[in-house]
Amino acid sequence: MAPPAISPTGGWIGTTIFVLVFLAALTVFGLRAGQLVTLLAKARREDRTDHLEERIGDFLLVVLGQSGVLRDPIPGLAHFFTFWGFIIIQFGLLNLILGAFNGSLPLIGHDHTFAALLDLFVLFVLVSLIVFAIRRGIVRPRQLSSRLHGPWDGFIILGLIFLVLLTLALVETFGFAASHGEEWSLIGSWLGPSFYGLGTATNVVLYRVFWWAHILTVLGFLVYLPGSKHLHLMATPFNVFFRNYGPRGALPLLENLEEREDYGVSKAEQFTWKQLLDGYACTECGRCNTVCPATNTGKPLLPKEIILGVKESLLDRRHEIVGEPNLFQKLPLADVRSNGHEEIQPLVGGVISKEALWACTTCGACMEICPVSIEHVPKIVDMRRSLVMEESDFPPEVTSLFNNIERNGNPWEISNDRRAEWAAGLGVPLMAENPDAEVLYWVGCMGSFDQRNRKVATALVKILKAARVNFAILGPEESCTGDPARRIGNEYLWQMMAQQNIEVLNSYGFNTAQTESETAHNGHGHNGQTTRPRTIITACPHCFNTIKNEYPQLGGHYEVIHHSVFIDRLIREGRLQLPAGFDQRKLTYHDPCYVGRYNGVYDEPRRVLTVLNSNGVTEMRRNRNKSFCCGGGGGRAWMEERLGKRVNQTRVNEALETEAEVLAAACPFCIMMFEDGVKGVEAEERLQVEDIAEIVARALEEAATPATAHAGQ
Amino acid sequence: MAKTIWVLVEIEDGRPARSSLEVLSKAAHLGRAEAIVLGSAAATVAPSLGEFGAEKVYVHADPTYDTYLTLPAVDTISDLLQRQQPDLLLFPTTYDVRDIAARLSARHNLGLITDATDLRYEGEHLEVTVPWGGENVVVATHPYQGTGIVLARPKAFSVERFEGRQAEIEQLSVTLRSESQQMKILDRVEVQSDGPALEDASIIVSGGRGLGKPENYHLVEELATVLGGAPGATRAIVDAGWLPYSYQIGQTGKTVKPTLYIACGISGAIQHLAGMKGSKYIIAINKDEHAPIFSVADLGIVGDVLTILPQLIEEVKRRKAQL
Amino acid sequence: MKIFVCVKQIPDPNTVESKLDPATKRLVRTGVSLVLDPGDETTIAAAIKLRDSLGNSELTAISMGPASAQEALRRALAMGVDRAILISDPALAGSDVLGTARTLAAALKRENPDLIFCSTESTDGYTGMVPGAIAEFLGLPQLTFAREITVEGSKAVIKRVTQTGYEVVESPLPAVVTIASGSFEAIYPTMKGIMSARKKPFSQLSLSDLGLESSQVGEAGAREQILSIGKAEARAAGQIIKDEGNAAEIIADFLQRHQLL
Ligand SMILES: Cc1cc2nc3c(=O)[nH]c(=O)nc-3n(C[C@H](O)[C@H](O)[C@H](O)COP(=O)(O)OP(=O)(O)OC[C@H]3O[C@@H](n4cnc5c(N)ncnc54)[C@H](O)[C@@H]3O)c2cc1C
Ligand code: SF4
Ligand code: SF4
Repeated sequence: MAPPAISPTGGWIGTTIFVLVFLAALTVFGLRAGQLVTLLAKARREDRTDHLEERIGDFLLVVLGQSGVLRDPIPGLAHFFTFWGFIIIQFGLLNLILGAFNGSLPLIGHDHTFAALLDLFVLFVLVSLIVFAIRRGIVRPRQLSSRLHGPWDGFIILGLIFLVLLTLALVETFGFAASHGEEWSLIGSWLGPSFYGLGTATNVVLYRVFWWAHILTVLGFLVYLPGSKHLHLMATPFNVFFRNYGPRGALPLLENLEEREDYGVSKAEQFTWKQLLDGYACTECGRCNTVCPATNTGKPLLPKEIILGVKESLLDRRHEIVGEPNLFQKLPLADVRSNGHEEIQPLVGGVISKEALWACTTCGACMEICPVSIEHVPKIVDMRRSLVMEESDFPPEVTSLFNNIERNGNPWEISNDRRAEWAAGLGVPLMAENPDAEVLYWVGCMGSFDQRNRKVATALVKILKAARVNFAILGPEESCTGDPARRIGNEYLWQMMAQQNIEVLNSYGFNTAQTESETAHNGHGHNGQTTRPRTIITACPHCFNTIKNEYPQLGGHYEVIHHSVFIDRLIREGRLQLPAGFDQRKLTYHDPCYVGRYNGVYDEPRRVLTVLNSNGVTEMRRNRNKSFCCGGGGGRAWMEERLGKRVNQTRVNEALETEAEVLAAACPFCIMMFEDGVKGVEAEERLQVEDIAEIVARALEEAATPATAHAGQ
Repeated sequence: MAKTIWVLVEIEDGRPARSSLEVLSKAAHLGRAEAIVLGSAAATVAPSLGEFGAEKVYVHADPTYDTYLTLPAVDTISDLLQRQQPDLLLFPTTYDVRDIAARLSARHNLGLITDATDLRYEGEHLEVTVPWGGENVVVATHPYQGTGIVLARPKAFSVERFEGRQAEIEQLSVTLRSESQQMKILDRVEVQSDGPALEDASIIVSGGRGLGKPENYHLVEELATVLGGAPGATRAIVDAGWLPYSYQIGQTGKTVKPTLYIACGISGAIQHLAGMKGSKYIIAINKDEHAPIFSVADLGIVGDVLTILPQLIEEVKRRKAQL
Repeated sequence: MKIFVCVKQIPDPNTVESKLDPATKRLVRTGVSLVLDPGDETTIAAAIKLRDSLGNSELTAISMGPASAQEALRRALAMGVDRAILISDPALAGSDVLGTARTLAAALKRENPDLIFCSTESTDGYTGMVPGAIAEFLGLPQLTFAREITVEGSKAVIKRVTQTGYEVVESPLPAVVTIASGSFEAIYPTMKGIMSARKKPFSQLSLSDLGLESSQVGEAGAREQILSIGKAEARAAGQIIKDEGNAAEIIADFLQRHQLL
């Protein structure tokens, strides 16, 4: 705690003034920030303290290592240095403040290495600032525009940071000059000596002036921060720490439907605190907009605007939520503009348009890319829930979907009794006939009723038979899983369907959490067999995801595998004899969102296709976790696409860019969307859409008739 | 003894309506057909009805019926029923006549059978054929003595000429009750359209990408016109800009359930099927014999729409002219 | 105003081939999914719209049917109807048009309705005779095939669908109105609707409550009798024919055979 060479305040009067100013600034900051925290406290509860160890580990990696932003290298690096520079500068600042009390930081306060490091960072940050400024001012990426804080917020922040650094450099310069090098710093040692000529007295005055300037700028920054987008500087670390560690594909359960007051979110404060914290944490980098299939095809949905819209609406209504404001709380928090309207706009249909909500395919690309782990899809679905269950306000085409799922157990006007018709003559046993089957093939509505996808189901049956898998299907006992209903916002219908299916699955002893006695009671022709957990496979990623990740919310725990993974397993176990490289057509593979991003399956399908295809897989521009949605998820397959370009055609064009002849998919909805997209861009002659199972089944046929295996090549 | 059968004959543009004449002809085959004609044009229409099978025509040429038919007609026929007891009222199924039949049935406690496609007398008993659910045919009768009402399905019977038959004409002298004239037609609006709207059409001819190019869509429209139906489309050609969205049939377009749906050059994707599968009869023309549309077709033609449609339009015109 | 809407539960017309039981000659209702008649959903939507625009009005759904018809009424309540009445009595089984209309009219008479909504026809039978018969039993005028309805003072004005357009028809109240199918967008119930439907007033009436004799209704009162149920000319399972130059004739034959020309 060695005292500084020169007292920056020049005695107790100055120090007292400093203390008063400092406390005043802290109070204003505290009130402003406190209001933000109060808003979170008033929001819905949600437990985010599971997986504590992982949380801490990831926190260190993401926040301190800045691993999130580094994915976009140039601005990422700039950001990395700004962040660390800031931390170090905080220590420098503390040192300066302690000077007012005739003290300094222990160990590093007068350490030249620290002082040098500090200045190196100051220089780094200055360089970074120039990069930021160029990006913002000259390149002007569209995703950076800010609806909430106006065009100036970014510049004000950059300006403030610049001022902080400038005043710091001047403090150091005159500190060095006034103390003739006793107050050493790198910058001071370069610039300080040139001011010796002013005389010590003048240098001391200038040192004090810039000390005050620096302190006041920093305090100003502090006061400005809670209303700025740079609020994220404070909120991000918390947001990363509290991010979702549950299965990514699971939407939050809406509990207690019978007794709730509200169903979904129509007002910002109905979100959970974590969903609201997302708004504080958003850095407005706009990465989510760049990957969103809706944004990219000209729909009125920009995922960043969803996050900021929620924040805007929350701040708009903060007095209503928190109660009578006190003087300081009246200070504007963010220059909320409410889209330029005078009176407060409703969240849904005002701040956020309904069209935007309906445009989302729930592809998850936005959540995948967001550097600060913001959760867009649950918010969108929460607002859809309110529209569907509270307002009955949704695209009219969806009514028949809901009615049909509820009445017929499938999305069409088809009696569910006919669910097994596709399998007639294929020798596929029903679960009721073969209750001890090891594998249940969950066919799904598309595989059961759609002519195109029945071919996939038939191919999969061929594969299962070739591998001598003891399997069965449920036939009329199977109903729609409810996935489209849930994603459109009809949680009630999803729960209804889920419960019904869970009952059926449990009765055949598939529930891994089920005790033996429970199964025995449920009977269902399951002659008291041991209840070894058995596997459910399905070719539908939407069925797969909801059974695997969402049915547990209602007590249904199952081992569910996507057919691409199951086929890969069969090949690796040697149960399928495939002619390697039989297919010579150039092929590309589309990762279905609910297989890839939501469930992390990328390699298995590629492995299968690589075995079969002599050329391997030619990747599209956007692949694996950056895969671009087919346009059919989130219930979009049931709605008309009235605005902008077609998502499916955009993706088909991307496949065409690879000059592939085959677009391999692993999802009935992708297949449907692509079949339609291929027609839409008139590429039927050039591009074939095939499910991975169809390709494998053809290979099996080829293997069975070796004489023709190489014919025509 | 020959059965006496009353037929209510409606007037359209000053002439007897075709649907009424169909029923009148049938009545003449079953027994003694007697027609009832109401409205200002009744007197001019009445003499021509003998030729269509009527032995007698009751006429009340009062313009009140022109502005509102239902309640005054119910009163007049009621009056007549007080005086005479026919065996059967055989009526065509039209908007107004349905209303009249329902009220007569309630007022006089008459048995009522609708949607008949055939009827005959077995001795004293009337047997009526009514299709049900597309599968079963129900044969029903009025088990009690007295008059019954049967409404015949449109086009169930054909119009026949009874050359030289002269109908006896009886002018009715009824006074119309004022309480039956409280309902007023304030306005009649003709909606300009080339045909029925898709939702209401009982026949729809629909086209898809198999038509090749937009210029060929007129074939679909022509066939729709000669059949008295409405033209529709798949999303594929709506998307391609051939037609506005209002033509789109399917999952995300209109859901239709016409009596007849003719799919021309349509593959039958599930989204299209979702919108038309409920049609009573489906005819599909597609050059690909594996096209999924054939899985729902009652009649599937594997062939080229562009050759078949012009032939079909001519054939339909020819047969219609013969009817 | 006291507004009523007559509704009916039927086997789901979209998935169930409606069948008659050869023994009882009645509609098979067991083992099939039963729904509120989709046509009635439209009618309910029309009635709700009118009630809301009038204000200070109560809308009651009324149905005659077996106990299962409760479900259909619950759906109506979930859509926004205020109150429901179910007329259920074993003696009502097998009612014909007149029996049904007589029963509904008797129940309606007790309520002094101002306006009674019906669907133009139920999706599964009767071809639209019940509303007219109800009107006659109650001695009320009937406004049919409405695609729009407004009430001004003690008069109702509708737009009545015609072959070529529509007529504007006016009638004094009380009256019976039938709504043309598809003229109003059906209402998909909200959760609030579904939950409150369980608490809304629901009354059940039997024949004796209505002062009707069992000989006037049900099979006993029916004026028609089903003699036999036969197979329709078997609907040829989808014929697929290759065009050999005679496709136009084949199609025209088909049209003629099914009276479609
Ligand atoms: C979200 C979504 C919603 C959709 N909603 C709908 C919807 O509401 N309605 C709808 O219709 N579609 C809808 N679709 C599109 C649907 O998937 C199909 O792409 C579309 O129905 C195909 O239209 P089509 O039959 O005209 O074209 P195609 O599928 O290309 O079929 C053309 C057919 O014509 C045949 N053909 C070609 N030439 C001839 C000839 N000379 N003579 C005879 N036959 C010939 C071909 O064999 C082929 O079967 C939707 C798609 C998506 C993704
Ligand atoms: S989930 Fe996909 S479609 Fe929805 S907002 Fe995110 S990126 Fe856009
Ligand atoms: S939500 Fe995430 S990706 Fe989108 S702008 Fe905010 S921080 Fe960036």
